[in-house]
Amino acid sequence: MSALGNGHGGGALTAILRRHAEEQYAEELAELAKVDDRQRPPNWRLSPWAVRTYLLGGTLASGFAVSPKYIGNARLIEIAVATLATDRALLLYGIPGTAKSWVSEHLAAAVAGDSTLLIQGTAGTDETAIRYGWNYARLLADGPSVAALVVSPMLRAMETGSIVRIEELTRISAEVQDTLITILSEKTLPVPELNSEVQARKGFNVIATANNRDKGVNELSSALTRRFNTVVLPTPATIEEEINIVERRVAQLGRALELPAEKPALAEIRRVVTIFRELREGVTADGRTKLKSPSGTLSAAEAISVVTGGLASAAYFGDGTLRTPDLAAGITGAIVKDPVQDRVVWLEYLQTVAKERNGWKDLYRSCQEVL
Amino acid sequence: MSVNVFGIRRHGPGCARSLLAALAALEPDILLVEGPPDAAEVLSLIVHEELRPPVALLVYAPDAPRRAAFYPFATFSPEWQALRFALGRGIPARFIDLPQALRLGAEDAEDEELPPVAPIEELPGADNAAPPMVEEGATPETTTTVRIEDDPIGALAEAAGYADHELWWEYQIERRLDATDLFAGIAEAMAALRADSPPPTGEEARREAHMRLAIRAAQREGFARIAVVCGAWHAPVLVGHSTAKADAALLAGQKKIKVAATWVPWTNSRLAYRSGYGAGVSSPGWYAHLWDVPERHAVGWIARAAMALRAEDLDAPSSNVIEAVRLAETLASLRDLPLPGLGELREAIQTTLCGGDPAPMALIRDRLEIGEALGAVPAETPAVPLQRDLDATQRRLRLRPSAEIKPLALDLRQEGDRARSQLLHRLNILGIPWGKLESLGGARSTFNESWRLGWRPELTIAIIEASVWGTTIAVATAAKVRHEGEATNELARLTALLDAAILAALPEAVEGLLARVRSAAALAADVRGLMDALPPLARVARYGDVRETKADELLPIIDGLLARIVIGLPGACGSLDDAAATRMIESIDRAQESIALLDRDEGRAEWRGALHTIATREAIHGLVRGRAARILLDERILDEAALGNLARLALAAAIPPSDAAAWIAGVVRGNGLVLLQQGALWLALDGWLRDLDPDRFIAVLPLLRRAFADFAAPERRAMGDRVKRLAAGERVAAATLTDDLAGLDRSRADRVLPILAQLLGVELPRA
Repeated sequence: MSALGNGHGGGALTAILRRHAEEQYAEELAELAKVDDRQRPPNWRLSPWAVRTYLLGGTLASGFAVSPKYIGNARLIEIAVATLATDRALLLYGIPGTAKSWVSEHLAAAVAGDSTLLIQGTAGTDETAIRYGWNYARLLADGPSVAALVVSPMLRAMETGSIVRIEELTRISAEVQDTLITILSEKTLPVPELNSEVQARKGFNVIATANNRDKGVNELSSALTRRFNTVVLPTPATIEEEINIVERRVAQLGRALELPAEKPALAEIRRVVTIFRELREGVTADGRTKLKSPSGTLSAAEAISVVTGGLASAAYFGDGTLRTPDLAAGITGAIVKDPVQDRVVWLEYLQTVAKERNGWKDLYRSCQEVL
Repeated sequence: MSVNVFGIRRHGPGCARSLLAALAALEPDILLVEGPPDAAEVLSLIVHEELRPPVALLVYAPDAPRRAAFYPFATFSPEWQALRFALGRGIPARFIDLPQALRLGAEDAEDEELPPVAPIEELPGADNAAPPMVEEGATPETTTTVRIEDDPIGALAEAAGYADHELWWEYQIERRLDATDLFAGIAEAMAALRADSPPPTGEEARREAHMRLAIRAAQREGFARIAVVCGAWHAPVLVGHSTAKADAALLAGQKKIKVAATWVPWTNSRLAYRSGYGAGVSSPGWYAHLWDVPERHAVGWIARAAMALRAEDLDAPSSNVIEAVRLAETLASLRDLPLPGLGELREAIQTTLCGGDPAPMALIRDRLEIGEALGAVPAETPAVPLQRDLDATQRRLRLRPSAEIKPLALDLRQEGDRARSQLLHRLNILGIPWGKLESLGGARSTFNESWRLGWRPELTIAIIEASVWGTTIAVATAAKVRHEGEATNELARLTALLDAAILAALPEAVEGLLARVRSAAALAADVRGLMDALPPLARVARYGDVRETKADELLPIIDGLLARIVIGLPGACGSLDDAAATRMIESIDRAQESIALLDRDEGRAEWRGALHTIATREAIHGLVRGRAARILLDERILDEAALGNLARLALAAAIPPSDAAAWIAGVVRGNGLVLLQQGALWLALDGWLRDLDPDRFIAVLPLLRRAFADFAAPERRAMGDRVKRLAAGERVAAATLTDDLAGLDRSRADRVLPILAQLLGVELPRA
């Protein structure tokens, strides 16, 4: 795996869909390490200041430009970095599509130089994924021994003083989540079968991500919550930022799917993003009218899929130009997740906002048709 | 002989501490403070032990109390500490700014149309982290920006990269041992800042000239160590600038008006407001903390935050308090700050103690950062302008306060009575319950009000308390209504406020409330709440002319409410139990009444459509279904045959008798006479009753009895007759009328006809 990643753009490399952060941005990390002369916490590859620059971007003293990985509130990234520097576990919280995993991967890459120690949280994640498992052939042949242990990413991170990432923490069942409590407070993992324990080396830490829209999946116990510092990542702050994100992603996806449609008009994207933002924030862009919010998240990611869906419909069933009717069904589908409540919200929006707005008559009519 | 100028930062606790140290070192023999000389008489009250900050010095024109300036002081205000320092040691203290007698007079001369000084323009709320500063007489566009001369030290701190200005000051102090030297440094920095700005003109030039003249006067009087405390911006120009002659020339020919000064209790949340003087403070509670706890504020602050959270039953374990302090300190060092400031503390508290949840931070903001301190003033403080305005209004309206409780009847069609009614309504809003409203018109008159008046001595205190809202009754009431409107999201409360504001004739406040009603209506998930909000609005829109309130602005809001009701109503009528269904039809009746009252075509068809949906949807509670059918019948949307159809369906054998009885109860509520004409309904009802088996009949009998219980005896008798005739096979609805004509004495009836025709305005057909 790492041999492939270190190769120089060979055929095998281009076939890989997505490279790890520390491989893709290896040059930036190296340049940062070169100029970084500030104090580093034990076992950190970079100082907290350099980690901050890696995430937020900037120009180094050497003139090297670091690209921003996270566009948004710089203070949030500072809180995240400071949390890791105080040896506290970090929980990135937010609705889907707010770059939680992206930030966690880059933090791990910058702090530990390794973002691959990953535990994917699912309803089926069991204790062995967080603690350790057994190689049963070995266990039966030789009896309990260190060699018979199957080491989890958590155990490896503890042994090497690295950062382990837990994705979708709230999807892991409550019993399994509890395993983390001792690890986070005592920084050790007992192995009773061998009558020993693994003590974490300095530099070990946990970055977890969780989705705050799926309430009640497996909500964190208060014992676990208080062992994490929680940073909530918000949706894009301004409409321009969000349009920018949607436009860029739609263009990329369009290329990937090889859609024969024209590039969508910015006006249509703006309209979709405006509707989503207004409903999400519960107030119109001019701040005059309050609105109810639907049950769905309406993140930038969903706006992207609505526009892409519209493009596909325009390409295969229309004349190749994205028009309002192509979007209406997608918008309605994204908003009306609950057939009763959300329908009321969407109808109210159409009646009180869309109907009155200049140049939105076509959208109003198309959406009324599909409802 | 020396003059020491201390340029200070308004409401800066660190600055207050340095100033005290500097004054103690200097031991001045006179203290001159930038402030209104008009307040000299009440200055001595500063050392009165019952005068507890936050308080505000109020200078106003007794003849026109709307012209007023407030000078708020907190414990940590440098001027406050300096004045207490001087007066406590018997050192004479004087205010040396340009007197308000000249400034308020100048406003008079320059701009007759100047907007009144409303004391509360913006209140810092939970969601209003950085309240805009309000400048005296400023245009709205400039109110949100802070001019550099208002907070030059803040500008310096920001230039040094400190978001928390107090922190910058703290840091500067820590590194300097000699505080006097520090003030010299500030004066130097200000001189540099001012070098790039144009020289002051107009009032600012006159203010600085007046301060220079006052300093020269003190020198002439022979004071040896003069301490001058003024805003940092003015520090470099008060000594050694300009000549006495030039200054005197600047001030010549100013128009002077009569002013009075007094102290009023202030609140922390209003320290953010500024009028004429004093920069706003967005986090007075944080500053008070810095003043009270000079060292290690981070620990104390986070511990207080944890206490506040625990008081609200939120988890805040000590271990997390420790982690919050560590995080705040690490954040500060990551940001290259020597100490955590309010921003770092806020983030640390949210991240560790609140689990990232921003909601509890609103609590921290209200309880800690703003704080809920309310000042107090001693009894001997001179009367407030609000009291004077009330006296004047009472004289003008010939409405003398008296302790005796007596009734007062007002006819709102008369101008004088209307003004009296407005005054009483306004006082009630302000929490000065002089009059109690007995009844608001009758069922038939909208222009009568009867009150009971009774003045109690404690109302005088209520006036002082209410004076934080403004200097005249009108301004204060509007400000209070506006504030309360901002504070609630409850639709019913807002419409009640709106009702009150309309009764009190507060057009500007009404405008603001209408916007609030509009936004609250959009959020209200409860359709019943929306329907209940309609009647007051409809009443005002319809009868507004008595009180000269415009209906045009209300109608769009009513339309908005109606649109939401129509969309939500069918859904809201599902799955109701008996009690909820009863409440629902009461609300529906109210909405129907309002719509009938408005008598407009907009939205009526949609409303009827929604009712029709309800009337025909089987899953909905019988009571609601029946009621909807009945309203449609009264509105002549359903005819006899259609209602008969509905009745047959609702009363079919397949329907449980209790549901059927509920449907009947819904239908028969209201006017019995209309019901009498519905032959098909009675037929269906009759058929249903006959088909019931005895057990079921006994079960539904009480329900039926109750459904008809509200009718008057004659109506019930007529209904009974009707049913009896049904049984005899009579089918003609108009038969009742024809039958009655039979027993008529035609010759006597004919004699009435000409007059009747004249009354009705119709031609009498020739016999």
